[in-house]
Amino acid sequence: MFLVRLAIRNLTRNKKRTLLVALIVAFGIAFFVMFDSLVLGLERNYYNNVIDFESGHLQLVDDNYWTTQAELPLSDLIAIDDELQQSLAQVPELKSYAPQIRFSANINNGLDELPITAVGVDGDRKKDVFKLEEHLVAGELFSADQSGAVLGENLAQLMDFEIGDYLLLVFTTQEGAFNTLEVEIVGLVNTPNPQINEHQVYIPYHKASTALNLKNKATEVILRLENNNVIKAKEFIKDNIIAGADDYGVYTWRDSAQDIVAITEVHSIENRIISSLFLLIAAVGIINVIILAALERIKEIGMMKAMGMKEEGIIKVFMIEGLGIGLIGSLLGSLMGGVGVYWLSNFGIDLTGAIDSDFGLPVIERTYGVFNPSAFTLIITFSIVISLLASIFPAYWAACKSPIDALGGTN
Amino acid sequence: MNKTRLLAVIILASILLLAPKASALTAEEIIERVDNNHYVEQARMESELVIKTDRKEMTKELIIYLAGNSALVEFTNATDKGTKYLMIEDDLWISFPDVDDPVRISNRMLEQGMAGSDFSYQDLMEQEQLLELYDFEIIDHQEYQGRASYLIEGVTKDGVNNSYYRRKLWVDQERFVYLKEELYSREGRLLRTIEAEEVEQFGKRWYVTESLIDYKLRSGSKTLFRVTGIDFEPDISEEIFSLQGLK
Repeated sequence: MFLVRLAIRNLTRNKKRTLLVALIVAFGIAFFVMFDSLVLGLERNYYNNVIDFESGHLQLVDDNYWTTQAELPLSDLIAIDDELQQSLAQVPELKSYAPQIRFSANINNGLDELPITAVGVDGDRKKDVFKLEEHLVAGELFSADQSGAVLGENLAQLMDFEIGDYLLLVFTTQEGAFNTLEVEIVGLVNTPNPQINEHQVYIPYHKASTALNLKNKATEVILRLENNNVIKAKEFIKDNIIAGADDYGVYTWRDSAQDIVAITEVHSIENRIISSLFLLIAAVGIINVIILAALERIKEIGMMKAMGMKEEGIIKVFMIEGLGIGLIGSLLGSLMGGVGVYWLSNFGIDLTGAIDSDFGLPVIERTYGVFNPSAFTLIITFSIVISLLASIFPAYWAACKSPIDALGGTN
Repeated sequence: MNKTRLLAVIILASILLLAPKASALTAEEIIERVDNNHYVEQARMESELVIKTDRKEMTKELIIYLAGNSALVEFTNATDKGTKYLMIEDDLWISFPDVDDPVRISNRMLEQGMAGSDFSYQDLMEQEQLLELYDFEIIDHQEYQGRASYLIEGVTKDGVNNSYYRRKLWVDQERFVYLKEELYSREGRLLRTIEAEEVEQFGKRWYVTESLIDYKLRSGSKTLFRVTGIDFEPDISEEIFSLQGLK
C-alpha cells in the first residue's frame, strides 16, 4: 500500500505531464471505440440493405448461377413448380418467399438509354420479402395481377420520368433475341440502398417471364424469415427441398455480402492500426515520463535504496506510476469515447459524401453508431497492458542505479 | 376438232400463265443470293463509322478483319487509335493501348451501343448467313430507291438463337443486295433500320459499301458505316484472333 501511495504522490507531483500522457492514451481509446461504433453502424446499415432490398435472408439458386450472377445470365435457372412452392412454404420461421428474375436491360425514354438491372418479382410477395413499400415516395407498388413498373426516384429523375409515364425496357431474351417491354410507371421509391435508387426497375414477375421466354423459371428464389435465424432454415432447405437436386444451393445474406464483409474487416484492421499508433505514442510518452521522473528523483531513489528499499520495490513504484497513467488515460478515454458513441448512436452522422470514396460501403442513409461493450473492454485492457509494459524498462533502469552514484547525483 | 383446239388453248394458256411463276425465285433462293453477296467468309475492310447526333458528328476509322466466327476491329483514328475489339464465337474482348490486359465485355453489356454508335455489340457479333437463321417469305414487290425490289420477311427459325426475331428486307431484284432492312424485337417493335446508301461491284459480287443505321429507340442519332477498302481474299494470320494478338 505504501508503494501505491508513493506512486500516486509521484504522479501528482507533475500533474500537467501526467495528464498530457494520459490524454494521448485517452485519445487512442476514444478513437478506437468511436470508429468501431461507426464501422458497426455502417455494417448494420449495409447488411440491412442487403437483406431488405437484395437477397432477403436466404436465396435458393443454381450453383452455377451463383458464381456468374454478376453478369445477370439467363441460364442455370430455378424451375418454379407447385412442388417447390409447397416445400418452400414449410421452411421454418418463413415470413414469405418470392421467385425473382433479375436481368440486364436498357431503360429507354425515347431520347436516351441507360443500362439497368430489371427485376421481375411477384407484386404481392414483394411487399413481404423486400421493404420497398415503406420507402415509396410516389404512387404504389403493383400487385400480383397488375402491370406496372416501380423504380428509384433518382433513376426516374435522370430519365425525366414521372408516375403515369411509360418506360421502355430493351433487353435480350434467353435465346439472345432483342425484346422490348413497355410498362407504365406506377411507383417511385427512395431507399437507403443507392443500387436500388439508381440502377433498378421492378416489373411484375409474369411480365418478365413472358418477355424473356423463360417458361416459369426464375433466376433465384428469395426467402424472408421472421427473424435472422438463417441456419435452421438453411439446413431445412438443404435436407428437405434440394436434397435431390445437386445443382441447387441455398445461400445466406452474408454470402451475398462477401465484399462488404471483406471491406468491414479491412476497416476494422485500419482502426486497430490507427489506435495502436496512438498507443505507441502514448507508450513512448510513458517511457519518457518514467525516465524524467527517475532523473528528477535520482537522489530520492538513492536515499530509498540506502535506507534499505530493494530494487524490486523501486521497480514496482515506477510500474504502478505507469499503470496509473494507463488507468487515468483509460478512464478519460472511456468517458470521451462513451460520449462520442452516445452521440453517434443517438444523432448519427451523414457519411453520404464520404461513403463511396472512403468507406466503399453502398449506403446512403444517416449512419448511427452501435454501442459495443467488448470494444471498450478490449482497448482498455490493451492500453493498461501497454502502459504497464512501457514502464518496465525505465523502472528497471532507475532501480539499477547504485545508491552512492544516485546520492552523488551522477547519472 | 373443237375439243382438240380447246385443249391446245388450255395447254398454251397454262404454259403462259404458269411459266413466269415456275421461273420466279423463291424467298429462300433470293436470300441465298443475298447471302452470296453479303456474307464474307474472310475479309479485311478499311472503313469509317460516322456517328451523327443532333449536337455533333464523330468519325471513327477502323480496320475490320473477318474470318469465320472470329472478327477483329481495330480503330485507327487519332482519338481511338489502338483500341481493338476481338470477337471469338460468342465472346467479345476489348483492349485499350494504355491497358496491358484485354477486358472481356460482359454479356450484360452486349446490348449497349458500340463506341457510342447505333450498332450494338451484339450486332457486331452476328456473322451468320441469313438463310441459316430465318424462315423467309416474299410479301410484296415494291420499288425502293427507284429500283425494283422484293419485300421479304424473315422470322427466326425454331430452335435458332438470333438477335432479331423478325426482319424485313427490301432486296434489289437485279443485284441481290438489300436496299433496306428493318430489324424487329420479339415483341414486334421496330428497333433498327439499315439503308444501303452505296452499292459497289467486286468481280461478280455486289456489296453494300455504305449503309445508314438508325436505332429507332433513340431519336437524334444515326450512324453511317462506310467501307473505304475491302479485300475478300486477304492473307490473315490466325494469331490476330487471339488474346495474345490483342496485346
